[in-house]
Amino acid sequence: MAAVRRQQLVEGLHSSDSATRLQSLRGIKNCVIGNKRQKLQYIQLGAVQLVVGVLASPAADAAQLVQAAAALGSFAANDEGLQVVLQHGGIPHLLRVLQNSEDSKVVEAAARALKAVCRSPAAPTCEILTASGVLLRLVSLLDSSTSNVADCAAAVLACYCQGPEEQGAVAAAGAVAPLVALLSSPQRAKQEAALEALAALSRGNADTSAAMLQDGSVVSSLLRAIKQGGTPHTRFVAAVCLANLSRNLPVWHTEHSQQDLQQAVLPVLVRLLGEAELAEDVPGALCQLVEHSVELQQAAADADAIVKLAAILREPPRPARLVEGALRCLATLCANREEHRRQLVDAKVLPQVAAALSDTRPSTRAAACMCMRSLSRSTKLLRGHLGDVEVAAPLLALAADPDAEVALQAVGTLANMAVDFSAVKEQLLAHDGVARFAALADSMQPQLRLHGVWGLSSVAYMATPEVKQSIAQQLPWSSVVVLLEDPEPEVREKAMLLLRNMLYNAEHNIQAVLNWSCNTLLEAVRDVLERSRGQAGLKQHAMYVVVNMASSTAAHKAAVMQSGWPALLVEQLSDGDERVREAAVWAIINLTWSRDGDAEETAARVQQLRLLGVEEQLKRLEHDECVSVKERATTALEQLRAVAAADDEMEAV
Amino acid sequence: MGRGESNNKKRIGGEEWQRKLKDVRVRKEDMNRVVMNFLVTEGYVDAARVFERESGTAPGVDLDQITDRMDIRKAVQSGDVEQAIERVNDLDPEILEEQQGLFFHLQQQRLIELIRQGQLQEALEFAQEYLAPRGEDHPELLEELERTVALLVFEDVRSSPLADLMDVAQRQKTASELNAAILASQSQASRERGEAGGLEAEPKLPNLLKLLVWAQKQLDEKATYPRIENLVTAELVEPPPADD
Repeated sequence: MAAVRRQQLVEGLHSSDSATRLQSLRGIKNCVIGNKRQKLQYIQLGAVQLVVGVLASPAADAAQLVQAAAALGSFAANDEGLQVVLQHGGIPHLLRVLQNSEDSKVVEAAARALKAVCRSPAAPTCEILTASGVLLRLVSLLDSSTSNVADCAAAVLACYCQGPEEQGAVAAAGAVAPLVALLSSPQRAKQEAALEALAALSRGNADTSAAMLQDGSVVSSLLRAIKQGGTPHTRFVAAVCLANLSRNLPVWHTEHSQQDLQQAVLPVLVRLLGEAELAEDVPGALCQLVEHSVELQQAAADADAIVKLAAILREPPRPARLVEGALRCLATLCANREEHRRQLVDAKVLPQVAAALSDTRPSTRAAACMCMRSLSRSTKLLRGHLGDVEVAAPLLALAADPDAEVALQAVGTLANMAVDFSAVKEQLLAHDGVARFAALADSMQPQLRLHGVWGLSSVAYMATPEVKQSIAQQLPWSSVVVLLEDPEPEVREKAMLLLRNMLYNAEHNIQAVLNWSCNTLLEAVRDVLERSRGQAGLKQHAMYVVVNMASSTAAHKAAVMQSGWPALLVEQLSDGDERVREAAVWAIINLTWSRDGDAEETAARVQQLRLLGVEEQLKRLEHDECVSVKERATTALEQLRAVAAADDEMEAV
Repeated sequence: MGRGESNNKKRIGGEEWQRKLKDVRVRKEDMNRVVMNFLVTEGYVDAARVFERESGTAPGVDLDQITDRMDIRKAVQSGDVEQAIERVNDLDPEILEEQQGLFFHLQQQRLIELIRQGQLQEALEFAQEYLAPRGEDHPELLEELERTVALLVFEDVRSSPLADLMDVAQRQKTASELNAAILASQSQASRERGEAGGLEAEPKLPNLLKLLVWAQKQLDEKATYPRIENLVTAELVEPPPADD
């Protein structure tokens, strides 16, 4: 039965009787509106082509055009239908009708149909609307008083504003003034459509923002809309629009400051976070608003944004986009302030953030990772709460994420969590963290390499001999040599820090590193130092490798004396950086210190250093501008003179 | 009510009550808006026009559109769902294109009407062609869909567990939902904060009267005062004189 009726209606479109044709058009339209199955059935019968034929026909009267346009809009409201409409060239005919008709009902139907077309994400909106004269026609319709024609025109223009070029074209077509005028329309739908269009028009565009601000009333209209907008959606779009403008205030606009506008938008967005029926990406908008301003971050936190964002994470079924936005926003708010991190922990959402690290959506994982990274900057949280949730395993998994940005965030977070006092360090080691860091240190990507070495150097600090041994096993010495010669200065510095931490604090550690390097450690470090002019951080780490060795056994001291280091050490006493000078003095103090009855060897070392002119250098340092360098230099000189005096006595005897 | 109890109550006499009433300022414009809201929402177009002229109160919607909306509501109330759907699509095709839940309820109502008219063959075909496929596209409607299609199973639906669907109240429900959707698509911006749109599906007046009755009941426990006994005349009835 239904199939027969469909067939009849489609055949009716061929009829020579215009009343029959009209009836068929209307019948088909009423069947397909809101009904996906019926759309597909009629598409199969070739109805779209026939409907386009009506739109194209110069003989079609107004009533037929109205029905045909409405049917076309309904077909285009779903993806398959849209493709068929495009295929049969329906859009140019629709546009022609929209541009040429003077019948208000026809224009209404065509505008509605065009809105249905452009709202589909699959529609080539920009291509469609670039046709000559279309934008001007749409702008002229913004003044229309016919039912919702103006709203439809505004909605179509909003869809078109996808990039600076399109935004510029819309502004050039004169859309700004009528859109701003619509803001004061008594009809809510018109206000909302105008807000959407203005938000799209001003998004990231200084020129169109300036054009909007030319209209003296726009800011006050928006300020009213963020407070009195009838629905949360209206208030949200108005807030986004105002935030857009605030980012691109032209210099001549002195009426409002950026700060004023942003301070006005902020509480509105924070309040919207608490709306039960929250559908838009309010957290994302808030994040964008505050990301470059510490004051706004503080203001957001003061307005309880963290608690509200946490609620979004805690109370399930929220759209994924919202959860992602909330995580990103929390990451921003917790990036710098310890008290904000504290608020997040107090809101008891740490488990949710940790769980989001393993979310199925890549962008949610990335956002969770950013949030974790912000939290991992807190030594307090590292010591405590972060150890209570499972974070190491998901972060290690993310470190291998195909998205480089995500991998980088994960590795950065892991490197923060590898420090000595971290409660997560155990977890990290239990999940093969050392092997993963070592693998990252081999990465082609400089930032990944950096964080891999960084992580290893953190793990190595104050670590047990077993952990240090596993580092030496996972990272062959040849890799260390490569890292010490890395093109990236930061990587070289962290590699040197790794060596410094590896041999810190005990003779057996020093021996282990010497074994690891097949006794080439001192030469390798010396080569790096000689090549690293101006890199104070790296030099400092290199110097402390030697300071550590010089504090060890006579054999280790002898190794230092025989490696070309003494001349280099004396040279570093006049380095431009006080930390390097101080380290050099420490090395001299250690080398001139006698222990385990090695007086004779000590005397020989002192002799060697004196020949290199160490005394003159140290005397100069007694007037150093840096107090600790000054004090160490005095100590070193006293020690040097004592040894020399004892030596002279011995000779005299 | 016991005597001892009533003795504990505060007594407010007519004069005092009038004085207190005068202290509460209700803006005339607000009163007029409540009246206009009632006329518009209930579809009294002619009355709304006259009231607009006489009181200067803006109706908040295009009065011409009210006629359409009322006709559509009447069509559903009288069981002509097909006619209602066609009229809505003429008014604004976006309503039924977008609001799948509403559209489903209209189709459900159409099935109910076919069954009510005893057109079982047509009802069966309609269910297969239009209702059944919706379950696949909209799983959230599935349960309601099953319940509706089950109507076809019962010989005498009125004595079945699904009798409620056949009730006139179901027509009212569907008509109200459609009415609300049309209102929402036409409604005007409200200047009042926190109010979603200028017009709701229900007029505000009945609710205000319910509030009045409720408030009087609350007050009865604490005081005697001039009550409004008849809402139509709104006449204040003096409390009986105090005993002492």
